[in-house]
Amino acid sequence: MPNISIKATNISKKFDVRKEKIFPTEGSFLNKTIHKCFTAKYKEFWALKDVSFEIYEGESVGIIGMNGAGKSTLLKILSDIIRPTTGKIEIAGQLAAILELGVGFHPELSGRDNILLYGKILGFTKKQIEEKFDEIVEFSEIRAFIDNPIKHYSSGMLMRLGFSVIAFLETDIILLDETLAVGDINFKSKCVNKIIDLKNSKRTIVIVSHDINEISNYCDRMLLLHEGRIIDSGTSTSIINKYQQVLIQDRALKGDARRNKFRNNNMNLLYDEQVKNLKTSIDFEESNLQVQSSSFRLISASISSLNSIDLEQNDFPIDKEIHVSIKVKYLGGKADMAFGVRDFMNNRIFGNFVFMTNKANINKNGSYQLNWIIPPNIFNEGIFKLGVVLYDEQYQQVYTIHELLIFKTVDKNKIANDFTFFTPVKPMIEFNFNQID
Amino acid sequence: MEIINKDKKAITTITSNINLLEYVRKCLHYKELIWALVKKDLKVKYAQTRLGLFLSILQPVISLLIFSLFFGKLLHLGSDGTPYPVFVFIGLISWYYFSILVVISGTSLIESQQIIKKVYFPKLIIPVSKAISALMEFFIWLLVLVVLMVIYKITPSYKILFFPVFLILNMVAGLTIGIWLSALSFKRRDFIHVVPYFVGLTMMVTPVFYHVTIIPQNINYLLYFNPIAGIVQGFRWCITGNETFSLWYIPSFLIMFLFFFLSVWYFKKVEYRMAEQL
Repeated sequence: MPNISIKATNISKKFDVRKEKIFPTEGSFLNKTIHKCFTAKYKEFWALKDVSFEIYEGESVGIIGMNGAGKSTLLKILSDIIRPTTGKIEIAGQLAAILELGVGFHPELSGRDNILLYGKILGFTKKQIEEKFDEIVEFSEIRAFIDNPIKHYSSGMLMRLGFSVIAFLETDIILLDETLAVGDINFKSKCVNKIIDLKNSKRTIVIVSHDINEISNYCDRMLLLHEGRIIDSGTSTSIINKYQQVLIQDRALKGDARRNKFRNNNMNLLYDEQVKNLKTSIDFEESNLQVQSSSFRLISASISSLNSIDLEQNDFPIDKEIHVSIKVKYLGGKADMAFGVRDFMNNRIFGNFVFMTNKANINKNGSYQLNWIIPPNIFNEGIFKLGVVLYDEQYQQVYTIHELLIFKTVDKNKIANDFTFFTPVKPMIEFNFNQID
Repeated sequence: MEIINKDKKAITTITSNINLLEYVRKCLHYKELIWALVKKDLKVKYAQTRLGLFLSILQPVISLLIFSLFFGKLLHLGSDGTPYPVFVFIGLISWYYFSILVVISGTSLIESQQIIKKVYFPKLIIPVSKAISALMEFFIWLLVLVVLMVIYKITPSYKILFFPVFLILNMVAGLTIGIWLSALSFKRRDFIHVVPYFVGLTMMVTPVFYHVTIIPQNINYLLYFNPIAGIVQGFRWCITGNETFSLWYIPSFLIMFLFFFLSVWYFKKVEYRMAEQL
């Protein structure tokens, strides 16, 4: 049986939320005064209700839930910023909680001083910090500026400095809020790798997030928090599905007001939003759009598939070819154009240049129909956007549209608990069994 | 239910309450942070100032000139036998340290809201570190006093050994009100505006620029209720030796210490609520 790192027993947290003051407008002065004195000014709000869990040594656990599920409260209680109303938590070993990077950084102090100060605020001794000092500086990529006051640093540099301090100082347990996405792309991937390193070195990690994608990379196990209770715990895959259900239920319950409020925070809602905006054909002359380079002018574009009858017109089965046909006017010359596909989060997936794939080059001016046939078994279920980029002869971009067409694919043979749920592509790659002995 | 712990790691238990002893132990665990914060305060204070230290010396010198001109030369307020500038300056040092302590430690928590919300350490460390960094100011004033004593050829006697005692008393006096203020100001910001004003008024009821003898004999005993008066008198007694130090001040010191412990207790009680109220 592994050691327990954190053991929470029946923790609850009550907040007193200030009520809106409602004073009687009628009645005598005495009546009003008495009313004012005796009506409760606060109402109770239980952010956490009877939460119990155990986290074992070396485990990395994600705590997920929607906004307002009590994640932050739980994190603050675990990091001892606030105390629970009832219940008990036992923590074995030193714990560092990072709710925000670079808390306590002072702009007038140098990077060096700030590392020392930040480390001490997190509860480390001078010795512990100095041992790791070089690694911290190396990782944060700010060696050249280490003795400058940090008010001259860019915000990316500050984030890197903050992250490096926590990543290298060794504690038994790390609590992380959604601070993983910091800095530019390069640094972000460095951070992700560092967290995976920490996980591999058997440190106990607790990550709190509402973005299940982001944290499923790191977590062995997840706790799903909903309305102050832990409603489920288990492997990432099983919790992802449960979380989807919770989100859908919640949306049905609370309607559109909530959807709009949290749209940006939530992939599902972003997805839903785009389902409404599907667009499978466009006529440029009708919509008065001049999409033109020195060689091409777009006339219209449409997308179609060999739909089976039982599916909606707009759904494209993933196991069928998808035909993209574009009508263009060729104006002569060698200015290329390219078509590409992005997923609904605007991640690029693939694309092709026309002249590089089109074997039978066009050389006479006139109207052409360009067919781009996307083979079956490339997309996963989801929403995709077809975009076009027009170039001049030196391959400089002249015109770009990301959302020329938006289409939705469906997977008819989906199995429950499919772990590939969030991958944009799903090619059919076969496994071969070769018996070895 | 004991938690399984083969490696004998230190176990932290978090429940709804924290007892005073545990709290003080936690504060001591973070003693390095106190020094780091003091160092930060000092560095920040003199960062980007050309005049830095010079300004800090100018301030007491100007106060000294104004007080000795107005009260010494124009109003002819008497002293205890030492030249008036030295007499008034000892009072000023002590009272000034007290009042600056109340203000900076009292407002220190509101200033560090960001840290309080986002990271845990015993918050008591913040006002305490402010009290220590304010000592820097105190020592600069003391330097001016030393120069002044050289000019007036005053040599302290063996009683100077009691100087640290009164310094600690002075610090405790300022911190007591500062800690109360910082804890209370979280609930009601009004305290931040009101308390420093009343602290300013205490100069009138403390023998800073006048000698105790100008208070009528029959109400003289009222002074013994004011620990700051005792501290000012004590400083004069141990530095110049011309003042008498009445043992009747000791009860007020004891009450002051009682309030100091109460302030720590109250601070501990509301500390976790601070992060919630922000």
